[in-house]
Amino acid sequence: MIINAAFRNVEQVSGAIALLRQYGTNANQMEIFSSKPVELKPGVLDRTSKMSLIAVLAAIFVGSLVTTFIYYTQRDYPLVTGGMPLTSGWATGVVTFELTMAGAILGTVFMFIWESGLMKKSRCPAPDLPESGMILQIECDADVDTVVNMLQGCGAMDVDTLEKS
Amino acid sequence: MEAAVEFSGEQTTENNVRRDLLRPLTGASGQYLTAVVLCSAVVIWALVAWGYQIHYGIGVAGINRPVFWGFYIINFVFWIGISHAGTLISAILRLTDAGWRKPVTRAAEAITVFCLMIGGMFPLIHLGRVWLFYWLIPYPNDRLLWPNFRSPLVWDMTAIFTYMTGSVLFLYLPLIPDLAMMAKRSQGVRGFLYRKLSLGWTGSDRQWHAMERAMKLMAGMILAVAVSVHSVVAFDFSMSVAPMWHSTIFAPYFVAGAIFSGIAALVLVMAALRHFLHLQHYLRPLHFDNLGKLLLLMSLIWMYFTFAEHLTVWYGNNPAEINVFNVREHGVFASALWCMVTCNFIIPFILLGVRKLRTITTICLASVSVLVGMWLERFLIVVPTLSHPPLASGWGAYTPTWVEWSITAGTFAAMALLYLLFVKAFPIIAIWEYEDDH
Repeated sequence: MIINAAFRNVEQVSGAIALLRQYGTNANQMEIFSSKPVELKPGVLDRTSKMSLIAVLAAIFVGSLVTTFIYYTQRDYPLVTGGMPLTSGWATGVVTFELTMAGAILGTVFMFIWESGLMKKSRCPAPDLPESGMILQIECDADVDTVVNMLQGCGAMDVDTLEKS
Repeated sequence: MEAAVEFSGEQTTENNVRRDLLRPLTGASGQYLTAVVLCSAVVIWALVAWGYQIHYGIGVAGINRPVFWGFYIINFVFWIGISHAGTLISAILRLTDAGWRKPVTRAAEAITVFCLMIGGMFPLIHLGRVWLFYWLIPYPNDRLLWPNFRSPLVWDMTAIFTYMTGSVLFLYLPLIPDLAMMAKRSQGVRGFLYRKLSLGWTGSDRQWHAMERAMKLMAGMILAVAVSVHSVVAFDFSMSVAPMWHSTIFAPYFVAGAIFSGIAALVLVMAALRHFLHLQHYLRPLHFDNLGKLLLLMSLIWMYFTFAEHLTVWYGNNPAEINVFNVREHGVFASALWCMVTCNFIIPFILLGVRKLRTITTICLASVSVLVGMWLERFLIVVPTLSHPPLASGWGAYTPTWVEWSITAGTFAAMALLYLLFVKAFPIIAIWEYEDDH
């Protein structure tokens, strides 16, 4: 079952999440939907992210690829340099820097799309976004009535239940 | 009961914000249509001039020995400089978490994208044989020729590619929640496009977290890229052993000048949006006052760099450099030099430095003055050096032709046109960010 509970403010939704977690609901089974970011206190519903790591790895990968490409191109197809060194760390550094940053940017955007689940079909249908306030969605396999009662006890204004498709 | 009343009040305010910020997207006034037609006409005229140049060759432009860089490179540096308005300013304000930035950032980020589109065209226009532009791109070819990676032109290409990619994404990511909201309110082709562009945004906390993380990371990266881009543009000059170009401070001098002209452009765009889209409630005197102070600070920094650059050249008394210095200071380019100093330092210093004089109107006047001054600065960097090479026998002059004037005018019209179309397609203030802040 999927339960959608509408809340007015962050305090109420935080209370509901804490209660549900005590009850044994996993953080991955809960999702808050809102038309603007909801600032929860640390530990309430933390989401881990590998965005920074992937951005750094993408930067290193693209930077290395570019540097290797420039090095071998300059060595295998030498230009007439008029006595200047064939490969130059200074000049290569500029191109390497720019494309390393391009790698980091594209890595970040890729991870944004991946972690936010955009362009992926969700397991549960997203509720219509409220103009204000927020909706807590719970993927519930246990006693639905108990969960609904808990949500109402925490101040949920409106609680809907629907079958998982 | 009290909470319910409060809740409904909050909803009303949010509805008002959405109504106000989405209003410019619907309908088109006579004033708007006139502006679009006028700008389109100038852009078409510029395209005709460019077509004429492509057909008859680069000889129809005024660039010739010894001045091989003219209006096209001046405009390239000018527009890339203005592009720093958006992404750089937006990134700094995001990283420092300046609350007042929220109504400003999208307008600024859009400036960056449009200026880069326009500025990035100039090296292609300057090529003359534009159809061979892809020779700059490293690709395997049967002539076994590869671009020279030591050339600042290749650096330019990579820098602008990265900056353009980053800036478009930096503008697009915070637009996604607004696109999703607009998709629900729109029908037909518009609704379809908004739905596709919103990538299935649902407003879940995972998405908001990912967005916040991505924007913080991107802001840091964009900051580094923006600084590097204008440094690379400065390297186009300072890597050559030419009088008054071969300077170690050129890169920071260019970056400071870019931020300076960028802020001026942002002020003017914001003033236009405020007036024509009736956004007085959102773009407040506080925003203009803060940007005015930033403009004043950049004016002082710019003057410091200009003074340091000129003093060093004068004191060095190198014959090649002092010739260029002299034509700039009291020769044929003196009027342009002193006009530049007046526009970039004296006028902003008086209008922005005196607190009582600092109003939206005077900040706009100072911004116009700065844009004129910064265009002249780019002119004074490019033309005097090229027209006065170290050997006096090689001295020459530069007179731009109607083709260069037309293309220059066309770029200003193109900027206005792109902005006019953008404000009809997307909310110019990030609705979710504004609501989040209030």
